[in-house]
Amino acid sequence: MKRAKVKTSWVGAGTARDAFRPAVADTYTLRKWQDVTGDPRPTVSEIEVECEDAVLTAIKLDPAYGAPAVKGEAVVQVEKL
Amino acid sequence: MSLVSVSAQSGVPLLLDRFTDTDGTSLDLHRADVGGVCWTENQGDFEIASNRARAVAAASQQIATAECRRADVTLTCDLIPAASGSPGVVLRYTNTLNFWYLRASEAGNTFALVEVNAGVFTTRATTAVAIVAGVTYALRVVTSGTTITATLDGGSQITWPSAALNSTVTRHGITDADAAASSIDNFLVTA
Repeated sequence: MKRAKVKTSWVGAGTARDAFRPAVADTYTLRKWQDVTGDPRPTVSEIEVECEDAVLTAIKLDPAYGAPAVKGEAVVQVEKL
Repeated sequence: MSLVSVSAQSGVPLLLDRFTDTDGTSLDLHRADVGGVCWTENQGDFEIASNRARAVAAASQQIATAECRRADVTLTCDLIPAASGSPGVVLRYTNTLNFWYLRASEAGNTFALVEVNAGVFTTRATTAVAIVAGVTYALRVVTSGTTITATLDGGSQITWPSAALNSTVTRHGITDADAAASSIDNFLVTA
């Protein structure tokens, strides 16, 4: 399991049924994520994610994100779900 | 006769509701264990069902809140999601356009914190959790200044340190998405 900061755009309509959320969380299975910027209406921002190693590798290989979009990569202990 | 000054002390219940009442009682007519007839149905409709609170209207999000006199609180309750349900709690509520909520979503298998600021819904943090319909999940939330910390069954922690919206607002409550027959029980707010 890895933790890293990922630069991502946001998707959604900002409504109850379709709240704004990071685009990367729609595309990839993230165990956990948290907004880092806290902007009122995020467009592009940085989120901190926890995910499987292979998922983070896939994000870095995805042209929509790429390796420069991923920072501070670290191994984390897995919390039992 | 003497006057006694009562103030909210740490650990003292500000609101306790086990939702013990006749089935079909509207939440805004129901008397809480501590707090009396205190609930306001801000959006949608909640009723008592099998001594739990249950959303019954077909609104996109149903909300009931009560005045708790403190913005910084510890809130605990039991969430019993139904299939496709998203029961949760509302924090620091001023109106349907400005508040925070935490929800456990059966369909998405997520535990999430959402900010509603000027009517714009933004998910601020999410943890993947296997949510099973009909199972009881113990939710614990602590609001302290601009930090909101929450756990589900003692794990799956969410911490959001930038909760500036409504940081001094003292209404808290319950929520559910649609009339999905999810239930909420043992709602306790302490200072």
